[in-house]
Amino acid sequence: MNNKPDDLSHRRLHLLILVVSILLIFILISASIRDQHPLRPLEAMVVKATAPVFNLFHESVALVSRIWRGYIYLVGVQAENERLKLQAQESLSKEALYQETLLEKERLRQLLEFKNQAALPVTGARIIGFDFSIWFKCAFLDKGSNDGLKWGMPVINAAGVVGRVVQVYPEYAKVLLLIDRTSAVDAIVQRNRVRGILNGVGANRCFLRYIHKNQDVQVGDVILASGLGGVFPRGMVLGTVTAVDKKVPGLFQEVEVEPAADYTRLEEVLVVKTVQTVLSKP
Amino acid sequence: MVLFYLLLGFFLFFLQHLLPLPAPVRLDLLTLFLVFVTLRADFIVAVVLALLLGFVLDCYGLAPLGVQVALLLTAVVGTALVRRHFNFLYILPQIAGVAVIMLLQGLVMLGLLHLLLPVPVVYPTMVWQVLLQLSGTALSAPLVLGLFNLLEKAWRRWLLQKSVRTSLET
Repeated sequence: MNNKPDDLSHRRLHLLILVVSILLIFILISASIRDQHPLRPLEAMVVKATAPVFNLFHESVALVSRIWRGYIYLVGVQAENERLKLQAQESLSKEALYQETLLEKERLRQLLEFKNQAALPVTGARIIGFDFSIWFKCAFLDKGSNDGLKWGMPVINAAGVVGRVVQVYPEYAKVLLLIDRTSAVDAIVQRNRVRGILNGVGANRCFLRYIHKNQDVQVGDVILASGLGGVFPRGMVLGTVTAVDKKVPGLFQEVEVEPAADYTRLEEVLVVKTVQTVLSKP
Repeated sequence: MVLFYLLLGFFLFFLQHLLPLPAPVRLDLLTLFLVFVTLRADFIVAVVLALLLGFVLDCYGLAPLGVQVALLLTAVVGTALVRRHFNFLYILPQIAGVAVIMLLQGLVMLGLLHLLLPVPVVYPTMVWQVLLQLSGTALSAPLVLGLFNLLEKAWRRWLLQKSVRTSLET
């Protein structure tokens, strides 16, 4: 008999805690949807406190893998393989740039842009964590505002564009990946300069949108950044067309693009540091 | 035991954020963890853990702060509600119960994203991804919950041994 009032007060307490929690969620959400929300320092503090664990893990994994690769598993072959892999990646990237230069050789200004692009100052960063849920796709870098990183800076690797910096902490930065559904990049088809918007769709795929059905886009076409968005320098490789569907209802065709960067194997990236300055030049 | 839950929760958080696994392959370990805590520990402990882990998750995600908190809290409340109808001691009710909880989470997330994001969040490909992750997590629930149970037992045993040793020494 005595249990009943206890149970009731217990339930009331639970209900109270639940209501307080829901209120807390509303306060958090309403405070954080502003651009410069008051909880940013707290957020930075949490990241600063937890991110070293990611670093520690990466260091341990790197150490173990170095020991394995360096001493146990065919020292010479491994080093040679790494070098060749790097060379192949560089060649692919150079090939894309070469094609682009050929297509645009008559336009001197664009050539100059490419020259600028090649001379862009970049900083290397390591990816220490991912948010690869269904809803969002982002990565965490081990460099932040202390290393000169700023909001909007493009993040690339040898294969092409990875994403752009969307949040910067003193020692870390958050990168919105190209495959996130909130990501949109002004893009062109390298072969015929057809323009569209490259949208992420959450899975490891993007869609090139707003391409009219009478435009010629084929499987295998390389998609480049047009440079018009003001974030990614013109000519950077975004991906390759993997499927084209003109039977979908509406004015536009559905163009599926496989991103150039392999997101399941991302480790080191480059952050382009002065893109906005270069692009703002007339 | 709170320390154990805290350590395990953070371990799972780091594990989930270290590997760039594509969405369908990626199990929602934190949801399963909170289901486990709600079933085993006090409701208040589960709520506090959901708030804490959710906030850390929010700091590492792209959504506004509070979204992941809401999602994990849904897992706790969902478990508290669902346990009345599903007996979590058996495998099939465990799978069905977790599926219902994850469905609830999906609905909450869709609602929040619809309200908060300027772009549409539902794509046909996404429904497929949600279903894959839901079924993957639900099907693995008996195994993962069993593993959490084993870890908890090991922790209890270790605590007991430690206290016995301390009392013997004194």
